[in-house]
Amino acid sequence: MKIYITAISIFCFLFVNITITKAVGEENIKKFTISGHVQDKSSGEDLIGATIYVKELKIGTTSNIYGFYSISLIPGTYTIQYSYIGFKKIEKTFELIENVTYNIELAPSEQKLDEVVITGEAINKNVTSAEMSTIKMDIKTIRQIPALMGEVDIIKAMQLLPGVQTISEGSSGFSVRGGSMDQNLIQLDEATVYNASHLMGFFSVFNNDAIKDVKLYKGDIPASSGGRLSSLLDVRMKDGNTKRFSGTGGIGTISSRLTLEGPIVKDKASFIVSGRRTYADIFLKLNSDPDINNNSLYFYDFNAKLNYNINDNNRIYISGYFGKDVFKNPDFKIGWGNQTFSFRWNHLFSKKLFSNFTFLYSKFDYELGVPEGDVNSFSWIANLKDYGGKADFNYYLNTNNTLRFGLSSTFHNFVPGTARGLGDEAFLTEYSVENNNGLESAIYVGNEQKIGSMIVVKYGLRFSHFVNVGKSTIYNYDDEYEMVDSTVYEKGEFFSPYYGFEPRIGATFIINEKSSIKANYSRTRQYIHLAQNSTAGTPLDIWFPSTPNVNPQIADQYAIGYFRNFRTNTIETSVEAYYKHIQNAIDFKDHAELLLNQLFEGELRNGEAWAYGLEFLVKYNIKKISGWVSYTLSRTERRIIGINDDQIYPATYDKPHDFSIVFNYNVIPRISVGATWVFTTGSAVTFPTGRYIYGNKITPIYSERNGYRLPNYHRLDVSVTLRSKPDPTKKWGWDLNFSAYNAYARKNPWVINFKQVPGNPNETYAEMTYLFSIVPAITFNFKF
Amino acid sequence: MRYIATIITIVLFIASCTEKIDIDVGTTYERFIVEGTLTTDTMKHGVKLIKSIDYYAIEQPPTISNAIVTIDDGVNKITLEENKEEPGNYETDENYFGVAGRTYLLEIEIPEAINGYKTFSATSELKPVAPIDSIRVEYIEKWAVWELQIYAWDPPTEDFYSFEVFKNNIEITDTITKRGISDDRFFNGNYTFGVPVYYFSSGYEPEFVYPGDTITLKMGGITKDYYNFIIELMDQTFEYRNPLFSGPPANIRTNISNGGLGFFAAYSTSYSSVVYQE
Repeated sequence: MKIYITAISIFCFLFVNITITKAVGEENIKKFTISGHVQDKSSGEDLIGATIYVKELKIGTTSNIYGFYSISLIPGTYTIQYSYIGFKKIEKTFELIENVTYNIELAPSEQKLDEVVITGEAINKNVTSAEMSTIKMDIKTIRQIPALMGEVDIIKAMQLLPGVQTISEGSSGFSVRGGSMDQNLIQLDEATVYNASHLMGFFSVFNNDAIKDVKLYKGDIPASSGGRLSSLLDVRMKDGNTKRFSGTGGIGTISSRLTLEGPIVKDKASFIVSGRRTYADIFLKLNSDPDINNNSLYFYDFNAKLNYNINDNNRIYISGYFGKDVFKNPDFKIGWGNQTFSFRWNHLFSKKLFSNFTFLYSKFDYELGVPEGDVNSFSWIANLKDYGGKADFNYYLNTNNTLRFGLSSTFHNFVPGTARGLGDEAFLTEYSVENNNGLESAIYVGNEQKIGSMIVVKYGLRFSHFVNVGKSTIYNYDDEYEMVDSTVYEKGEFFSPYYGFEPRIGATFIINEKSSIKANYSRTRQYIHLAQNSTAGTPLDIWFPSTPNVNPQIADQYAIGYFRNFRTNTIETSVEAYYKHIQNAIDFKDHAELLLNQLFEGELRNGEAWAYGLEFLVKYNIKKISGWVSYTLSRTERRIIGINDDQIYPATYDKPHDFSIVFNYNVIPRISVGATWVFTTGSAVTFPTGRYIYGNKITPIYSERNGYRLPNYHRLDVSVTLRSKPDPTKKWGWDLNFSAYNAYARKNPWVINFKQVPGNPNETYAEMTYLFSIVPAITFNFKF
Repeated sequence: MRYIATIITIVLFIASCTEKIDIDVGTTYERFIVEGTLTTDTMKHGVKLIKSIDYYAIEQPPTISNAIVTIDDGVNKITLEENKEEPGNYETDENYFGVAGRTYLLEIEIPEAINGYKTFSATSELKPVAPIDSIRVEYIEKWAVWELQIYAWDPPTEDFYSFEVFKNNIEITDTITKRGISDDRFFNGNYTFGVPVYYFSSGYEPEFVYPGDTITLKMGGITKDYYNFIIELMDQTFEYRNPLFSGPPANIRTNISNGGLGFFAAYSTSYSSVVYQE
């Protein structure tokens, strides 16, 4: 609490400070602004985080997520250097006597063909930037990591970095710094993706070919974002090639994909469409057994984006994503899917004031049932819809201060589940869990301020607000969590407001251009939560809002880190320590019934949670070899009233040791090999420690919750990639990738069950289920 | 809804692989277990007392003899006699029966303390149950099972049911986890036109239904606590738990005091029989 108040005070002090300085010091000298967009010359894509450096003053700035930069200087002659890794640096001299709009295109540098090509921000950005606790993954790097069934996956790649852990094997649900799966805000072009996984979590919904940029904030979430306690995964789609029509695609063992992009009006408007579909069910259909060949099992994704540069001051982007998973046969079907849509308008009010307005829509739904014609016919549907708007402003006040402020509001509509019988024969009448709605809004302001050449301070204040909106029915519970009565709220009635400040403060002390120390404090609030009782996360998990019965969760996170680069920045290392404390942490009571239960709020219990850890990372990119080694030592625990006799217990995904090595070697320009080795402590589980007999059945007595561990998990993945001859005159190329997931076929236990020996009811044994032995895959990729 | 999760779980399990593994689970302190059932039928009703054992132990749990076991229904208090041939089993006489509407108090005093306690008690309300109009057995071709369907009125109150099934007077649901169990959320206050309450397993010969077999359904009107107890017991002993659908395992509830485990259940019964014709 004290830190929270201190943070708000520091924020106010610094904010007032800069406004006074500006008012007093700088009014007298008129400055002019150089601004514009930085783009990739070969495709027209905006370059995010490009460096714009003024040589004479030794100061610089970077382009924002839309490639826009702005720098204000007193009149004079300046040489400005534009750079971005993997691209040729360009220098331009300006005689600054008035405001200038200067858009620039950088050309990709000639590839040293045997070196690993990475594109990105300044080579020592990890040291000098004000950010910490973030991971920015280059798309090309993600593609080089050997993948399960050949399916390149952004989220699985993130899990190889420190502080990010898997929840369960194969699952796309991930835990960031001890947070649970629902504490990650996943956004695709500003719209929220609620369930980022296909096929029970084995694959993510992001089609790598359509993605331009992926950034994961593990802490130090900017003040412009909120609503989740542990992380922000910001995924940006490519805008579409504005120069020429091009495409990429691939055929793999489990799915195929195709991406097409091109200009609609050269250099002004472009599109990109991307699709992916699995076809495991084609093999099922070829089987002659009718019990097998009338099963369908598939998923597909479709991404589409349109963007239009109206003029130098206005651009619009329209993006959409549509994905679905289906499993069905004549007796039963289950399916789920996500749809997201966003419309964005960038508008420059002035050369210093950049703004972006977003309208967004997001929907996650699932259904399962037995088709009509059966006595048991039923259908069960559930969904969650978001309708929202955001306004974000970047104000490039002066070379030392960049202000960001804005506001947002999203209306959430929750339909947690309705089951009904189908047809006349069905005995099932309609049963539904009450709908609910919430309006989540926020306003924020923040600044990134350079103090001298050695210190960068970032501070922001977010104020968030959440209120339920009728029509809905809320059940009221007594102290024993038994329902006593219910309250009905009319349509449009606002009730149960929650609100609070979320200060975010951080500082970077640049010791020299190779090393720095960073520290950061942030408070986040989460108003919607996931009712998830399974240890792996399934599509049937239900999102629910804060209500009179459920308080928002609040987290305070402190982090400190030391960043050091070696050997002209070809080796980046960092050590970060963090501590996170969560109030109103939610968990579910023993034997919780969450599916289709109107009284599921009575199954919740709350308390406190803690997570703390130490993250080590060594990233290398030396000539032909690249990759990283990451190790996280951490604990995540909670104490919830009503669970485990009110004693502290570890979260299921508490994995004290998490070690990954990623290695990539370009043998010759046409062949590269990659390997990944991971090791984690086994998940925490509850085992039986005693037994008795009741009703002729052996009945177990259990240990304290999560008192035991599964065996440790480790796995090696390898891949070999053959490429077509690189030829700068040809536009098209291909590569053939062979990979083996779990190369030494370690049987990693996914779950351990205790069973009775057949024929001997008194004897039991432990049996483990493992998901994957070695899984080989071949993928053929092409581009033109 | 457990039914759906079960189906999905089994479907997914066909795809994955299993292997025996050695896991040392250690030991835990001894517990006192009570298994007591009292119904409205006129017969000997029993209460069984045992102690818990280590998880991997092969022997039967030890029974507790020479305990004093009494049942008090607010009108009479009777003492149960230990069965000489089956130690640990304490029985009422054969003319005793439970009365719907009364609340039954079970009290036990054991010769040697377990975890510092020698006396234990449990209470259960004996709720009434609706009569069954009729039952029907139908063979479902698609799944190769026989379905037992019930025709009865469910009262508008919140009711819970347990279903035990007999074939030619021999109980098929001899293990508690084989029973049918249901709440009334999907048909509360309505007539159940053939709601299925039990499926005869098609993989186990003693459960096959042949023409001419007499099938009897014993429906119990159980308390919510006993209903939850049976559901939790079924969940925790189900052999195919998987991380996708199950929460962490946890101990099953009890209505026995002082750290005891198990359950004392009192319920009314109604019966119906049918002779199966093809």
